Amino acid sequence: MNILRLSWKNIISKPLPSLLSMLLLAVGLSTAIILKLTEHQLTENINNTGKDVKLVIGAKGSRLQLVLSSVFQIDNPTGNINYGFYSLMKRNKMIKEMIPVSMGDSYKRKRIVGTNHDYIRLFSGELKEGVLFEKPLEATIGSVVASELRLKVGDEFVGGHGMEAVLHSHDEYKYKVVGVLERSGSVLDNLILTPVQTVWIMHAGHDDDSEYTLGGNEEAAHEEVASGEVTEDEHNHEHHGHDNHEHAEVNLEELLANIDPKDREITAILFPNLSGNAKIGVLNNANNQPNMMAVDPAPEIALLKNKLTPFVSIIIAISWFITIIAMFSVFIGLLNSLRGRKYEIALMRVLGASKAKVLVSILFEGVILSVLGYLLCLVLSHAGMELIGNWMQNEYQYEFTGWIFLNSELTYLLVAIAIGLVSALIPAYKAYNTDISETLSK
Amino acid sequence: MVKINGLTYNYSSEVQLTFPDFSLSKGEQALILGQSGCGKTTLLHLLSGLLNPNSGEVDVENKNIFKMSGATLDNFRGANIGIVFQTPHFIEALSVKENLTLTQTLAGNSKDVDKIKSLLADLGVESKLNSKLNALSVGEKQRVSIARALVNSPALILADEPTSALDDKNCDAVLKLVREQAKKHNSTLLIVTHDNRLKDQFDKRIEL
Repeated sequence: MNILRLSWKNIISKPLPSLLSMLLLAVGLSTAIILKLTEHQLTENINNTGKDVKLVIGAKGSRLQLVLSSVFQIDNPTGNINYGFYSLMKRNKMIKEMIPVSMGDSYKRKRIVGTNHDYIRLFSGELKEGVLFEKPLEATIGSVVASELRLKVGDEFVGGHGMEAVLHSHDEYKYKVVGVLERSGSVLDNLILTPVQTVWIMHAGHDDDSEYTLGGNEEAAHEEVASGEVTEDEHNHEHHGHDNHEHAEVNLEELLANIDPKDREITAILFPNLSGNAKIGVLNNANNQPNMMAVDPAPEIALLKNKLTPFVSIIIAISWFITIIAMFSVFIGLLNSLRGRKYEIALMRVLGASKAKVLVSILFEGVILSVLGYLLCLVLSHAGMELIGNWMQNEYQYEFTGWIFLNSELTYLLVAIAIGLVSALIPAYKAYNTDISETLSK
Repeated sequence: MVKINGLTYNYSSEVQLTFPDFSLSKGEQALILGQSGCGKTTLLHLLSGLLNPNSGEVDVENKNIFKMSGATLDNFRGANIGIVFQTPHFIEALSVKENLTLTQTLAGNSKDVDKIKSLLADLGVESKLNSKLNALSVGEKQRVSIARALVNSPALILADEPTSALDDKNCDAVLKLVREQAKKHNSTLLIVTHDNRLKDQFDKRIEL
């Protein structure tokens, strides 16, 4: 029977107060660790996703919204710009790389993005199976899309208009999965990628103007136009020959050719590797266009981070508040338990325990409680992060996981031990100074 | 083996206790008699080094215990002096066996469960080895506390009113056990009491 075991026995002989102290400590530390895990993953995601996009051109509106929607796939787009502008810019020899993105549709809450292969390269996406999309209606999907929606190469699905709730489905045409991407930890995992032309076909005849809003009223009108126009004249037979693939393909080309250039729209253009004079040139060019703007994502992201700082500070403050309450709980718990054990302390001294041994045994109790609290906190925080991560994945298109461990979590072990020691200090000192003779005489 | 010389203790500036000189040889059994408030418990605490006297000396095993200090004295007490208290107290979080092994290890001895078992058997409570203390009757607790006082085979056993809470039948039984066990372990036994039932059973009596 050593001192450590004695401390342990004393803790488990009062399971409820011990559990309460542990739980409070665990909740306090978990809050801090979950915050750290979120911050870490968010920062990593933001850096990974944002670092290679040097400029974005999109419809006039909120600058942050444009960056969030077209780079991070979070917010709604600000509107659309004409594909003609993209074609025009393509002739500019100073621009090495530009990527069109076209948003507005989704399938079961996963965003469909019309783009080109450079978009996949931008996030270092690799094919896991199948091929990259080439023709309209072909789709290459992210790994999370594939696993969550149980889609594989060869599957077909019907997309819908709208980003979150599908407001109506484009059931005239089906997407066909031609490839699945490897998990990349980037925004690609949650996207369905297709050529920009797919989006035009889906919206052919829709009087979309440029707004892809989620408003309710216009959608009713939308529905009528949709079912009316695609079925007109030469595309009439589309409805009957749906299953005949080759037949449909021919008609797609015809349909594409017939789309008015002013209806060929994209949401934004991303510019990787753009700097110096080329960047200034593109910036000026875009900003001179009516209904268009060019935005450098970096300062917008910095601005967003600044906006988040107060919230982060509040959560940190809350976590410290809970942790300090936990410290008091350990302190009061030990003090209470010792009040009833005063005679036992005197007894230990009679049996040969030195003052120091008694002191250490009480300190051990505090430390054991706090280390157990820390272990409980690891379970709570990582399981909690996993739960929150699942929820956030739907909100932010990023995968947040609870199954990563940061080195900084180990420092919380030191914090926990320090809390255990500090809260046990006064009770231990009291035990250290117990007047044995007086206590035994009572 | 135990020697007391010129021992005084000041309760306050007015009340000073003076204790008679006496000495006990190894294995001797003696009674200290006195009414409540005459300093019986104080003497017992002085003998075990829990209190410091104003003057005088206490030698146990030819060592002046007041010359020792701190951890050395605690260690010496644990290894050489066993105490039986009036009301038996234990570490409640531990079982009978764990209380006794703790007593062994705190005294610097190694854990010896066989010895504990044979002691409990001698005292008629071997079935309580793994019991929690709150499951024991007062009489059983007193027996276990005797086992605890003996478990390190100390040179000196001090008993503070070990029988005052017990009825005649238990009083005799407990007294018999303490005396037998002290003899068996060749320990010097000193019982402090105001219980007159014990008076005639001891040859050596010291009145306070």
